[in-house]
Amino acid sequence: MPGGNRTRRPALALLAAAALVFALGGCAGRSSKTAGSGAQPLAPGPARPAAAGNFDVPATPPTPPGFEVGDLPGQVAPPGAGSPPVRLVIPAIEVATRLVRLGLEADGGMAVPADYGRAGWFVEGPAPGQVGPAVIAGHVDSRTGPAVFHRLRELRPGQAVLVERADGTRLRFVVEQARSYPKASFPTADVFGPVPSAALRLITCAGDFDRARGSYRDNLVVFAGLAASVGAGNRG
Amino acid sequence: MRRPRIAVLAAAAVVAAAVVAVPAVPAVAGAQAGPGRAMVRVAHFSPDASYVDVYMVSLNRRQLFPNVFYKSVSAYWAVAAGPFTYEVRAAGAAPESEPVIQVKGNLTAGRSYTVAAVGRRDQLQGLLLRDDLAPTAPGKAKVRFLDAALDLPAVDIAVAGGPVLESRLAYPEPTGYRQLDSGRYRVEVRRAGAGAVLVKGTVAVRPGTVTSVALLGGAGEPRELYAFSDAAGSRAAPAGGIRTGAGGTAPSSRGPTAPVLPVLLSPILVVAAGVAVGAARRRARA
Repeated sequence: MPGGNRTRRPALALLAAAALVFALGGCAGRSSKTAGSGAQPLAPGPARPAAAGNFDVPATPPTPPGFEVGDLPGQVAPPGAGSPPVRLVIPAIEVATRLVRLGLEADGGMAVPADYGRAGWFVEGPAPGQVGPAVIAGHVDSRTGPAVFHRLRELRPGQAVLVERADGTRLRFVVEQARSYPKASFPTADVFGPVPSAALRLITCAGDFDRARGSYRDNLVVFAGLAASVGAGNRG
Repeated sequence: MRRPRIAVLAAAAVVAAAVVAVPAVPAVAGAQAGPGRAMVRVAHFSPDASYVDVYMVSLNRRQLFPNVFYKSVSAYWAVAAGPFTYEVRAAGAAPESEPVIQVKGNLTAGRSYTVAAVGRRDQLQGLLLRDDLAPTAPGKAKVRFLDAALDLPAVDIAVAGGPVLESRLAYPEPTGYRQLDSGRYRVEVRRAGAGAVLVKGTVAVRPGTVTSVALLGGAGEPRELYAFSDAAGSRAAPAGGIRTGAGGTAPSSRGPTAPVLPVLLSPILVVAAGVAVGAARRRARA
């Protein structure tokens, strides 16, 4: 693969996802060079001068037994960085909503959508697809019935979350985990703090409803990563 | 073949990190690392060792990245916390041959690391840097520098026409992270002690982001400031939990009813008590 490293892959999420598959499971796909093809590299023959290696010329060594071989995981270039999200689709739980914009309230809390049927993007964070934790929040219910994120609790790791952006592009995120936290000890740094790749957090309410306060006691946070993110896929 | 030089700057990095210590737990909310995992990435900053093979062995993975080239900085990936070994060989060198760099270290769960190769090809060194991805101060950006340029004296890093950011930085040292206002900085690398400008560059940082800037070059490669992203967070984060529910689907009698009744009644009792007290006062005044 000389030069493969130097070639910037097209930034399209799908291609990147394909590249990810290739880079991960793909170690096996690169059949001839991979582990499993035998312990001892290459037939003994005339001594190979390359065995000493060369700093000036790309050359791939024989694969040592038990090693995965692949390109260095590249920084995921956010396609068309910064275009704001306009629509959220979560096929597994039949969510399809336009996105409103959410900022901060005067009391320092995060604004929430006025429309129970819509989710909203937190504009003080990165846009989905940019490096960092993009946050989308939606109500679990209104005063009278289910709201846009009522079924968020059903999302499971591996399921897809799609975000359409104003520039017409669509990003595919994959759920990594879902966790509930008491609002009283909400993990602000974990949800809003720095992360090295393009991430998405979906937030709604959960737990018991405190009728005295008119509020649920917990927040449910679904953590997802851009499908092209190698770091996310490497967790196995 | 020469004995590999081992230069683990973990201790220095730990000290550096301690200087900017934010008493927060790692920001890797499982979204990346997960329990028992650390995040690592690889950087290659040796200007005249254009292509190298990088071997990373951790408790759960044995990885070979062939043909890693100068100025590569990878994305992070998650590996099992615990002991690891990083080795570098010239491109194509036999895996069983003696590495030109070998670093053994220990990765702490929830932390993030950069393993960098620096130095002239016959004096390569591996650096294990601890990356601090904890949140920035509100509205600020975090930046650190790494001197990986060959054949330079100790340097000061300063904003052109502005303050000195780092003093007497020498190869191959990293600084700790420093909080900066977001913005675009014209940065000068000067001979330490108000000396001549050796390298100029621009560093642009957005609020909430964490950035590393390496001073690179020598051995035929241009000297430059090379900025790369460590992580990015929100410009501003809300206080407390998110108010995303009005209770319309909450079970009206969930669990034992006993605790629910007082909860339902308590506002009524409070209001009733208030009314009673108010009435009593009015009566008293009258």
